[in-house]
Amino acid sequence: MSIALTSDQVLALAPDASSASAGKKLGNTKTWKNLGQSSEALWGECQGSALYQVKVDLSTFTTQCSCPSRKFPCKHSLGLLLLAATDTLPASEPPNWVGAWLAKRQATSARKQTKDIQSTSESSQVAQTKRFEKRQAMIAKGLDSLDLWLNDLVRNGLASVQTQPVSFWENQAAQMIDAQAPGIASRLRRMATIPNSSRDWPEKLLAQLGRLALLTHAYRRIEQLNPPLQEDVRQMVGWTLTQEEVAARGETLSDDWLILGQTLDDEERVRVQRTWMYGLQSERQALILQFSAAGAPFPEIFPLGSHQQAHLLFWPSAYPQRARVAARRGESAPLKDPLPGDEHIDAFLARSADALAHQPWMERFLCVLRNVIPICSAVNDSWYIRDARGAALPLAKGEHWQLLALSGGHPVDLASEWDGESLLPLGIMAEGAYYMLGRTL
Amino acid sequence: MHTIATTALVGTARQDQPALTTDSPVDTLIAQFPAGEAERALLLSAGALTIYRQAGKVAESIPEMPVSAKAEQRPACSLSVSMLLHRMLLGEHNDLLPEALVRLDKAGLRLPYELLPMALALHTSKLRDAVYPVLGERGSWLSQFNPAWSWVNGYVPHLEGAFPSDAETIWQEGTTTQRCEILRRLRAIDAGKARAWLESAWKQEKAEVRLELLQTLEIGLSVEDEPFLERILDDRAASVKSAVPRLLARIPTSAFAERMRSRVDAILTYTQGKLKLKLPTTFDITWQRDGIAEKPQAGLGERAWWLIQLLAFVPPAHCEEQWQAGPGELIAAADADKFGKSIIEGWSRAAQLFSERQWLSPLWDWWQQQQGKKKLGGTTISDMRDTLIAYLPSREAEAKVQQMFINSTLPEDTDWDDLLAELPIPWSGEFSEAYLRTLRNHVASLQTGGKNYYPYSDPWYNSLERAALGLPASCFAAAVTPWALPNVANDWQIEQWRQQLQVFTETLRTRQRLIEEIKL
Repeated sequence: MSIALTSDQVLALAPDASSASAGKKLGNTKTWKNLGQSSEALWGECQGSALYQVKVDLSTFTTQCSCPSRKFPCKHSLGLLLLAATDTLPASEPPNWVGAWLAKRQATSARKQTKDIQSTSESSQVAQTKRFEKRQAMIAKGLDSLDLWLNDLVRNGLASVQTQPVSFWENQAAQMIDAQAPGIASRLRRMATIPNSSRDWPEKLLAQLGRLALLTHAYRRIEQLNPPLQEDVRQMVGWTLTQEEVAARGETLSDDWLILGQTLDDEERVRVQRTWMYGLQSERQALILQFSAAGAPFPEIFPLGSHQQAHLLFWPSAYPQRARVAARRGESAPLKDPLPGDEHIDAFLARSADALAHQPWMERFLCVLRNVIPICSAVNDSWYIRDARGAALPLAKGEHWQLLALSGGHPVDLASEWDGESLLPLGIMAEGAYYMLGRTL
Repeated sequence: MHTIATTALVGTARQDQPALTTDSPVDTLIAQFPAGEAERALLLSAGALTIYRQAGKVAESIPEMPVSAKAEQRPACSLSVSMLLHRMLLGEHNDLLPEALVRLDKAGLRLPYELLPMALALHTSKLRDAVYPVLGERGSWLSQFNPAWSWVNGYVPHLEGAFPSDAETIWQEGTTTQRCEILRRLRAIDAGKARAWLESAWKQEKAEVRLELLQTLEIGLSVEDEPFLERILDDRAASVKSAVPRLLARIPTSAFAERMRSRVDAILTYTQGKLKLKLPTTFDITWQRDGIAEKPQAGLGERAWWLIQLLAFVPPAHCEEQWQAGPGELIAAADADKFGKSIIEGWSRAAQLFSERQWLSPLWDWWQQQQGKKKLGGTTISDMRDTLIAYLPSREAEAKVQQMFINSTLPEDTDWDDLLAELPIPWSGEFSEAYLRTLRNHVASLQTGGKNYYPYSDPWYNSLERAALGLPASCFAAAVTPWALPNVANDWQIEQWRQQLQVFTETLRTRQRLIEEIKL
């Protein structure tokens, strides 16, 4: 049995292009010794500058290598995965150095679960309530001053911001950080990029200012909202939830999850990775966010373009979307079948309208469309996808040659990220194979 | 722009009754809002309107179905070949790309779709010739969408395939490269018709196009082409004019060839083992029309220059016949003459133009002997030597280089590695074995102790890059057998060699994989 990953999926795990290419070079049996595989793990010893021991936990594709590289996964791990993706490794009992590692991983995950249930002591709860009340007061004060600032902006006219330096937005964002409302701060920082960015920037800026005003409005009257939406509003202002709170208040959903794609953004010196999943039975979408500061690796690895049985834990919300993987069950296998999703663009738009009706601030939405044709229109260099009825949505700015090459003007299944304006392609199912898009390795 | 957006842009302070209506159900929401806070009301309306519009987003409409790509005639290559090619397209071992693509074509395969955007972006004509046949239906379909890929449409790979049915259209409307290729193919099957096409288009073409189209007459050149060529000896563009003599000279019965022969006969005679040269002292004005330039290039005397040019247009065989003497004898006689180098240069140019094999080899030997002697004026010796070897049959050329690297201690043999670039690839087995054997001895006995040894001025070191491309598959096993370098610690020269040999064996291993994985 070879592993359920294709070479492309392995390469998509690489932290950068040089690791991918170094990994490819190591993906042959010559450089390896003592290769082996069990139902739980893969392992092998790679002759580099020293002999490195490489092991892979097959349930999560977590890799570990004894080399000193700070890249994750390192080239040796990628090499071993590539080898396993193309060849079958000899089945055997894990040697001691692998067995010990697996046992330790299982113990850690068990310990985490016990910790999750432990309740906090009473005295710390009192202190917590105090901290909570203090923060509430700070946020309320911060929002008051923000609203005055917003009113001033509209009074003087948006035209006036054209000449404002970035610090105009940055100062206001810093005040929101001080008021412990980081969610609002990052909204303000994003607004700084809108003036003069396009012909219709005043409308775009007004739209964002308007959503922000609705948010402060909603936060003041939070008790009038239904409880799930209260959770959204609090999270958007900047109240983060602990793992325990997510576990206690969020919903767990077990399904066969299709891991459809990933995007990467740089936000305020932090890299944000968004992984999109789609539940085969539940027809629900899930967004896994991971953050990395200063080039550190992302903690969890998702084999893109495959599917796996897993329990997902959703953040409490009126339209649960953000989630984390609570437990993976069983093997992951490459996507081969046609994607589940909407046949028609209208059906997808209705779905997204329904989501907005539940959670009006929703910004991104997974879009899975079946039998659509990507179109490159010579007129003003624009890109579309078109469904069988002739309805069309624009693709995100940029070139989508890979998408066009893979479809050839024939209907394909496309997974993409919808931001209300255009679709950012994530992956495409064409002729029985799933290809990742947007990542250039 | 929407009314409230205009209001927001200008600012509520500048308006008495700021307009806040959105002409949507949002207005009923705003109506419930306490009066007196126009700014807040405007912001909330804008927010509500944004979400209202987002939720009511309507798809655009593209009524017409796009034209899709046709079904493929060939299967795609395997996944592992695709990965190999992907690396080459990204730049790793990219010198192997032409070989890989040609092999893919021979195996009747095509590129997988995901590599097409990179393949279409290749830009040298060598790579385009190689990639064109493996683009498949999808590749040509895809190329229509990107102006940078328009080269694919109507691309006619160099000297390959049959005469296309839409040839006349390509000839009328194609790019210069395409038209040349059409003409070249037509020359091969109907030289007269091709000439007629060229003649009828001649007048309206620009000089640089005329020049390129003219070169196609080399194919199927015959006495029938003479009237046209004789006429364009008077072409208005100097560049076109100067290209005509090379063609006319190769029509043995042409008036031009006759003129040249009588000119040479008048100045050069051979009696009793000696050449006798009667060089004119003034430039003959009738030479000018026949493409002889009056002013020499730097470093040459005028008379020597005229001599070289005149001899270059007469087949050396004519001298042989005239004087009943062989190339070796005549070259020896020229060597003794004061103008010997110019005579031999003239013959060397002629031997290339007329592809006279009996002359090429002894001429090359003469130039080779001059290596290490003092540089003479005009064409440098190594230039002529390197040019001539390319005209030799491959086995003969290989034998010359082999001779050089085996005796590489002689001063004239030192830069033999430059000649490798002129040998056709793949190299013959015999030559390759000799190369590898001698290389192995050289590597094992490297003397790097001296301060003056630099690997990059060692021809063996420099030969590896070319050898990695030239060695035939039969020699791969011998070439990748570990190389035993002298065991000297901390020697940067040895280290340099080790790295170069590693690149060498890696390139060969990749070629090996290409051969194994793209089965013919």
